[in-house]
Amino acid sequence: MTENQAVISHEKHYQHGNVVSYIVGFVLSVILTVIAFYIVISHSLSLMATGIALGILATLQIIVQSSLFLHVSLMPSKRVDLISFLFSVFVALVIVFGTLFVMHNVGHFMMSR
Amino acid sequence: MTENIMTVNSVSEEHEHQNHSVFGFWIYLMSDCIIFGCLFASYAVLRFQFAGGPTAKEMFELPGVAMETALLLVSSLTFGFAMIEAYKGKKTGTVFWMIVSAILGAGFLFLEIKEFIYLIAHGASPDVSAFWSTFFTLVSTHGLHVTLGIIWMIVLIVQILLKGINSKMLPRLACLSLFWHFLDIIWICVFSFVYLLSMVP
Repeated sequence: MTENQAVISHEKHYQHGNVVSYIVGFVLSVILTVIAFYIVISHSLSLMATGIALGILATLQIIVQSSLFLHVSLMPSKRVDLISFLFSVFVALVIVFGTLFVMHNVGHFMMSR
Repeated sequence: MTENIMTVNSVSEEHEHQNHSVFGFWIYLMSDCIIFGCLFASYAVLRFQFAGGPTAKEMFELPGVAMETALLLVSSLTFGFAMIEAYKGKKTGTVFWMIVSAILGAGFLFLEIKEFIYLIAHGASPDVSAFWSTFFTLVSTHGLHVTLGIIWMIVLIVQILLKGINSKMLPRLACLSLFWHFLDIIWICVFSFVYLLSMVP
């Protein structure tokens, strides 16, 4: 097995993108980012609605980048990557929203806000 | 014959080993994701605690943030191109796109440091209030990751120039590409929830 063959077999083994998939990911990210900045600069939505819109746009962009740049996918060979990714996102969300919930209650019941 | 099988076996074992190293790095990134989760949680709790000091809305400048976002996103794309060249085994192309990515990353860092200097000069230093403490901790942790990513990129560029692209180099590049794209994903959360959300009236 020569160096070159090793490189080619690597190519088969690691799922990676081509020029088109990277450019599609880039263009989608740019569009989502521009929408996010536009919503905030134009002051077109209320605080609540802006928060929700930013949350949705960020989630979409994370999905775009993790599938097209990080190559997380539903393929069987990538299953473990996907599960560990979803699990850590879940843990991060529990930490963020759990902390907000607990601290909100602390503020509420201690009347310190 | 036996020798041949032995070689094939050892190659596939080596291959398996390298594959594990990329997966191991992936697990590290997932734990890094949880570190950022904790930093975002403390930021979210303390986001209104200005202690009478300057507020986020007064201090943040969106054009600078947009520029930083653009630099990081383009460098993610150019690193993708570097990986495509690397898988083709093309040394010059890989090194070229890696240098472009490193320069764009350095541009991002330059703007971030400039912003920090501006903030501190205008009275929004980390010791002023809980808000600015968590802000600087969160954003500079991301900046530190970018710094390490650039150093790592320079090390790999030198290694490729000296040794060329071989089967040992590819897993290293694969790990760095995961790291670099991961940092861009963290930045999505930073610009959406730290900068943009603070600018809403």
